[in-house]
Amino acid sequence: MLEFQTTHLNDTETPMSIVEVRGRVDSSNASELGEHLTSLIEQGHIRFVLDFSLLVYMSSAGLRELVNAYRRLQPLGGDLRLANPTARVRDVLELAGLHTVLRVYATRQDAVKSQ
Amino acid sequence: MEQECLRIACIFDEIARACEFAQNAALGMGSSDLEAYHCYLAVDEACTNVVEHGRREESSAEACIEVCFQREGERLTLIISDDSGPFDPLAQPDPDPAVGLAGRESGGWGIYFIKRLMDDVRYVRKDGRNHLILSKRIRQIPDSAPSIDAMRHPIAVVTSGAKLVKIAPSGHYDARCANLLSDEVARWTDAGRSQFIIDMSGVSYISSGGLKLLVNLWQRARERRTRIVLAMIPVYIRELMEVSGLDLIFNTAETIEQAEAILSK
Repeated sequence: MLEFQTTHLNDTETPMSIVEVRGRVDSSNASELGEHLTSLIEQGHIRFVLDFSLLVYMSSAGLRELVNAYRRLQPLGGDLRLANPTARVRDVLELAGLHTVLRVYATRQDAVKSQ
Repeated sequence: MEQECLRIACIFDEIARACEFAQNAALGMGSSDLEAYHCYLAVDEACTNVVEHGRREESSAEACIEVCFQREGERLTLIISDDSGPFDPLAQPDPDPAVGLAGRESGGWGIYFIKRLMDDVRYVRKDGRNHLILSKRIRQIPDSAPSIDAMRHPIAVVTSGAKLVKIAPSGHYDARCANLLSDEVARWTDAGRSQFIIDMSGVSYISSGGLKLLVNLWQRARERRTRIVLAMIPVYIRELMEVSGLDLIFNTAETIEQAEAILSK
């Protein structure tokens, strides 16, 4: 089960897209995450907060999609931040050392407000 | 030594079954939720590698992956074997978690995770099959993953009326916080309220041990003759409730409005 709920914030200083990722990301559905982000990037959205508060599981297949999206955003001057990962997902980010590369915030609000 | 095996087809959609098999093998020997999760993740990564690398031309619906577990004392051994060509995943160099994104391999992390999560990992080619042998000592390490969620169980009371109280728990629930919700409902029952809507949409995770949260809630409600409706239950929690039969004893609603309608009858 994997669901996305996307909200575009246009009233902030810089426009941002919040993607709430709910459920589980594994090799059977990780491409859905990649495709969802790719389609938003192709629509011109380049600053993202991925809200992981309802993401209960992620394997390395999901991390791969995050890294690919981040690489795609960098040359565009974009940004990818993570908000409120659950303990399990945080473990996986830490195992792969991604918690030091991607910016991880305690809450969605912190992620949006941070410069 | 006991051994049980499960065969799955060589497709991504089948992998979760193998993961649950391994997770249950760990839980069945008294592992903590954390250790069982490590087994789940390790088998997920191992099977994903087989499906990705083992059958490059076409994915096959034939049963080609077999997962077996052996339990001996504190040691759980998980053996993942497949019938594709010889491939030793341990021969690949480990990726480096300290490397920034620019120089980073996007793959190769699965086997690295397995090495970190298990105590011992070996590869053998035998009888025309690849065997990845994972071994973990089950030490009942308490769920030490409280980094963000488990430390915080806010239970917000959204509104309270003369009879009805709406409560919105959020965060991560495991066995250690099984009384939080029933205690909150009991406080309001003492204060004369008899109807409760529990908005479950903010609950990010309930472990199998955390299901006691709902069992306790139901028991207290029955004793005190309060009426409770669980509303907006996330799909994965609903699945957990269905597996454990809890969906049959609770009133549930898709929306808060629907919950109010149930209580007004």
